[in-house]
Amino acid sequence: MTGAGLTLEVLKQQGVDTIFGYPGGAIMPLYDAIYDSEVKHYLCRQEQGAAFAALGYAKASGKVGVCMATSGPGVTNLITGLADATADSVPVVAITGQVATPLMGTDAFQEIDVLGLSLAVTKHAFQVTDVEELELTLQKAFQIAISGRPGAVLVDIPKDIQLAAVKMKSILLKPFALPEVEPDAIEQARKLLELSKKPMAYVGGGVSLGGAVTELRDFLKCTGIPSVSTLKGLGAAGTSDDYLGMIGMHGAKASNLAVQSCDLLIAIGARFDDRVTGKLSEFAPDAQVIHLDIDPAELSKLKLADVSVLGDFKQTIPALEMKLNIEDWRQHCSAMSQEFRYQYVSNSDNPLTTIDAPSMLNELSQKLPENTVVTTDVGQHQMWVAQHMRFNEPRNLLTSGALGTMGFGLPAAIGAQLSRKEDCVVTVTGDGSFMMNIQELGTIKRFALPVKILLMDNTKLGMVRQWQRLFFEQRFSETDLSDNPDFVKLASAFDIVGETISSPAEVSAGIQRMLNATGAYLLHVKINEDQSVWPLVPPNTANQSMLEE
Amino acid sequence: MKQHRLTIIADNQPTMLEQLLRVTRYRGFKVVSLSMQVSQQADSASLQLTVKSERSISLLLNQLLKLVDIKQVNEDLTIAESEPIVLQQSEPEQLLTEAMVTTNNIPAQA
Repeated sequence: MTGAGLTLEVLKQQGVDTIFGYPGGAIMPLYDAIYDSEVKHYLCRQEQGAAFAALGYAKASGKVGVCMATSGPGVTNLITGLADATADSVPVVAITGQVATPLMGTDAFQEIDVLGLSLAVTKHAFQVTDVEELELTLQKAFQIAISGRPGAVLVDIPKDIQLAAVKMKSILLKPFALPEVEPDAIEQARKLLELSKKPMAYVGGGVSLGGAVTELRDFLKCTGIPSVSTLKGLGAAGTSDDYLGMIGMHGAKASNLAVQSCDLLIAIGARFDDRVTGKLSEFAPDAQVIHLDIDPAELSKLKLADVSVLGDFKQTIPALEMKLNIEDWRQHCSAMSQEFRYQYVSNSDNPLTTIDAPSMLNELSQKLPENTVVTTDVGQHQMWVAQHMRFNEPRNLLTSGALGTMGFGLPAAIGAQLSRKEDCVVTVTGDGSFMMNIQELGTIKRFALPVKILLMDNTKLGMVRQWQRLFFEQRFSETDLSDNPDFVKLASAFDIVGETISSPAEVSAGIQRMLNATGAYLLHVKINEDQSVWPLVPPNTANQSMLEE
Repeated sequence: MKQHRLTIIADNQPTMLEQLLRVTRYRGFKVVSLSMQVSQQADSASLQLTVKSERSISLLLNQLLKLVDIKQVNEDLTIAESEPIVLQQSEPEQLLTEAMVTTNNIPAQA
């Protein structure tokens, strides 16, 4: 068999049946092998789209996402997606073609220093220069992508290696050993829990990645500890009354105030990102910290933990279960949650002439079929989704958290739809983000994917404009998009049915028509250009000092 | 600003040195000196790296240990910048202090 054939065999061994990619000169032998392979390849319309589709596939399913691209520009286009995957700890394996080994390092056509480019944005990158190393390298790539804290791994395969003859050795790697949980750390953490009167769980994306959603919910139920969530942790804690909402820059008021006044913060699979903590030195100022993570480099990286618990959440979270007597604190949190709850004005009863975005998303959330996957882009609409939609499972919200990549939503929805064919997939996007990977409408058309697109159009780069209004004296530099294309006409060019709504009275029926559609559907919603995301904690400010409407 | 001398054992892969220097730079450490010896079989390498930074050395140690090619990192010595560094590379084991930090029990792939 050839190196190309072997690559596909390893993919099959790894349980991969879906690949996203784009062919080109240096990866032609691999595409020739794909031609009659049972592994299904989905052609995206730009390599970044393929990378984000692989991300969406991986995030929605919990499996490894696989994408492919050719050398040179194929790889450079993949890079943003790989950076996004690594930043959000999503297991993705990228396979890239390279010019033949004798040409490497000669500035050949479509040659680029792939390792130099990719090492900074992946968990690891390999270049295979001996076909006898190919099988082991691919196996290692999958193991590194999924083990410990997941991330993207790139395997670069020169064209002559793809064509070279090789025998399969059927290599089996030793399973990755998870770190041993230290009993002392558990003991110390339990002592802090016992002493705490006002404990708070701060839940991040790591809980879902570690497959420990059930363990987390059992822990929260057993202890009665109230919880808050990061953007990536949304859905992990479920819908219990003790869950207060998202924290951070656009977090719920009750969540931020509760964290600021807690006496013990239990960070679980979260990394004290600046968008979460606000001014770090004033974040949870009275709290001792227990930090649970699988990545030792995150423990005490930004906020010194009083107790660090390294290990697999499936072991560490249950080890902290105990009954606590914290009824006063729970009632305090619950009362705050009630007091500061967002007051929705249904668009049907809205006396204004413009659509209220939060209320629309709240209505959408209530109308979605069970197990719907929602993907977002980045900006105001993303924060409104995080604030005003409810998720029962973290795998039902796919969003670019750490890297914050506009253009994520549409291709991620494609990947999600292909990994969960029976489930409804809705992408909520903005007029800025939507244009960033608009070419992927072609992928939706080609594979007749029933992806629903809710496009919130304020003819502006809304989040940047909001900051210009608040912090840059209303100098609206380069944030006007009032010459946007006719989005419905654009969708129609890809055989996607669409409609535009602009008045509050049209919202309910519009959402219903979108959800009832059997195929792809664009609901183009014109919203007020001046609507902002509230609350907002200004940068480098303590989280209790939020700006409100 | 403190200087730290690290001894590193690594797989001698083409990506190793680049990763080591990239992470050192990105995490806010400056290279003061670096030497490397490759094993006879050329499969592993031993490096002595001295870095300086205002930041805690644990930040760098933890990030280096996550690199796939890096197998072991020991902090041999911490010196305030004003103190001269005495290099005795012929007998490196004599420089190890009792305060040696052994970090190789932390899993590299996590």
